[in-house]
Amino acid sequence: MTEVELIARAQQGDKDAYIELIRIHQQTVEKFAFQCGVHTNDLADVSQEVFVKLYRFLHQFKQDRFTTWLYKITLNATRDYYRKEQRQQVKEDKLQAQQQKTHSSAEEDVLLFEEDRHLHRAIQVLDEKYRYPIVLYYFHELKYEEIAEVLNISLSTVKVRLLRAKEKLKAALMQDGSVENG
Amino acid sequence: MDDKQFDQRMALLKKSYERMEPKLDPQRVLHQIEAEDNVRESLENMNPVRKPSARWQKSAVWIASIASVLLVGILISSYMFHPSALVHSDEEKIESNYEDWFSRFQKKYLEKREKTRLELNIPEENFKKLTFVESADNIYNDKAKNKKIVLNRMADDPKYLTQLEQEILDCLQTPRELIEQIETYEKPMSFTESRYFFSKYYYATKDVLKYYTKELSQFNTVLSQAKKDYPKELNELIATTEKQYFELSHDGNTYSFKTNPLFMKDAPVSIDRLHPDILGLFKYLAMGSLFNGEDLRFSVEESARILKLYERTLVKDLSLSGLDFQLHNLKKEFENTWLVLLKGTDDKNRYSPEHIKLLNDTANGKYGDSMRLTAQFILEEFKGKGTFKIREKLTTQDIGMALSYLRNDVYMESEDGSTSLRIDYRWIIQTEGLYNAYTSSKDDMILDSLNPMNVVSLFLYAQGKGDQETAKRLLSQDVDLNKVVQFDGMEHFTVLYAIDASQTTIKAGVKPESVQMIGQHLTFQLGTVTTGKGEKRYIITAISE
Repeated sequence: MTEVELIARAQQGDKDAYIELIRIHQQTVEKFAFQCGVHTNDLADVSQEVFVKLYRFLHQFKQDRFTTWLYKITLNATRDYYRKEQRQQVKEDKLQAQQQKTHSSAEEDVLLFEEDRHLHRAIQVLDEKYRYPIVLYYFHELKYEEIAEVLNISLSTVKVRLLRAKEKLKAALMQDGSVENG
Repeated sequence: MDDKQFDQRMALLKKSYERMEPKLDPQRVLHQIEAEDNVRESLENMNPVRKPSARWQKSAVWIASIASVLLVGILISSYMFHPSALVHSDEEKIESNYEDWFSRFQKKYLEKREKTRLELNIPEENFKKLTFVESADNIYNDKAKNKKIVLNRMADDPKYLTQLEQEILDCLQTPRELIEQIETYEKPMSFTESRYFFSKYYYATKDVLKYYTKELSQFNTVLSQAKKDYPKELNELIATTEKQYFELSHDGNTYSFKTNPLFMKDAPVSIDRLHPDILGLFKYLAMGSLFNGEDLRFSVEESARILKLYERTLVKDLSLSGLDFQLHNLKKEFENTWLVLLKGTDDKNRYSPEHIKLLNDTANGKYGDSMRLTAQFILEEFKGKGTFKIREKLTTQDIGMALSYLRNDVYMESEDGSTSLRIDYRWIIQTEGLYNAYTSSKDDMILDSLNPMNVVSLFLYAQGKGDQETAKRLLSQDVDLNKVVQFDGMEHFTVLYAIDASQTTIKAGVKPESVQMIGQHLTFQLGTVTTGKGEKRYIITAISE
């Protein structure tokens, strides 16, 4: 069954079809939430929130690109999550603490190599206006136009922010001397 | 750090993210939705909608009156200033187009539906419950028959009716039609096309298979007899299923139908157009479980050969997409079967020469790449100490990890089809295993089976050890080994990347501290030679710094 068919069936209240839709997209949602800064222990909760919201709004879905829509909902759920729980400060503290440590057990579950963890942390400390475009571009392979749509910003802003995000990340990697010859 | 290096670092991190296991149990979502619905329902029952107070009623009357005056004004002005007559005529034209189309399509749809039903030979009451038929009926009723929605879409998209018609009729394709549709692909299909095709095929066949298998159960008592003694009805059922490329299968206990469009005797020639990396999923559909209870259904060699097909699909598919349930089952089957193969099927078999041969063949890459290193470690322990401790401790998790290593960390394929490979300690150990297997046996069959990345890896390892004899076996006669830079170990290199999809040029990236000794990169050109057995083997035809 194609995704369009699954969506159509879920819109008619077919719960099996909705479960299948969740299975197809949950990795994208969880990955994106993790890359946006959600802690691994909270990924299931945030992901659950996304799919409950998605279900409530499913009847509004027409012919847009489903994944673009999903990214928007995930982004909002991630923001809501921190806003509600007032975790932003805690998160920043955690990130700083993590930078002091060599390893972080939660990250280690997902990122086996220290150099990956290092780059992940460097992305996490970027301002969110730089973090989201770079995550969507490099890890979700979204086109500039799609990023602009998800983040509700102009195409030229996407390009400028991506450029700056790259510069900032490169600088962070060079500063810590973790550059390898590739 | 240049852009290319940065992109490579990001690509590596992307691969690591893809290793994330799903955290959410989808059932939790449904539970929350149901819980919220229940709460809302009970609140509504407890607090029936309150009537607004008289004060609010008065205001509402005023607001409604003002709004009505404004609305009438807007309607009048739009009537005065817009060419509504023209719009009206366009709408009428679209509506009449729809009416014409629907009266033709209705007939076409019902004819196709009945044709599909007759070909599958399934009574209407069962036919209408098949997922793909339900799906076609739903789209037909909800979309095609819904005039308002269709007219809206037609106004935006002139091709909408053609697309909708195709979408609905495509839903009604029989498994046979789907398979024969592969012929319409002019070129070999990409992996994404093949994967999409598989999903479509899987959903179209699963209910049909279930129906036929259920029908089969009434013949349980006669199925074990000789085919010539089968009753007429059973023969008819089998004949119907064969037309759909299904096969009667017996797993030792029960009979069922399995779909086998690729590997059966009368498989259509066009299936060659499917991408080879998708074959594992089709094979899995055809085989079902490789076990009958705790016993293997096939010989050890046959099972290992099947697993090699599964490995190819798992490595390719898991790298690209999430773990859907078909892949999840395939991965479990892969892990469980390899565990039994490597541990030995029973106490007697565990120490037999046949089992040692299987370990040797696996270590030499005969049955794929993922278990090579594990088999090699088991053999080394056995040869050195005469014990099998590694084998005894082996779990399905270890097998999953080996597969994960192969798919996530070793090969990375970019969009343009080029591949890169990180040289870390695990890859070096893997190459060491290959090197030991070759140098101890001098068996050229090992070299014949190597892909370009493996040829370059083995060369770097042999050259790093100063083993010119092995290094030369990987070079064409034109390459003068004495002119190639000398280095002491493969550890000086970080990455191999193929510049082109066919991997005829491979660069080996050098660690910063070794750049002075070796240079930024070593570049390898590769070509092929024909071996005595008529097969093509990759060799290095040039090396430059």
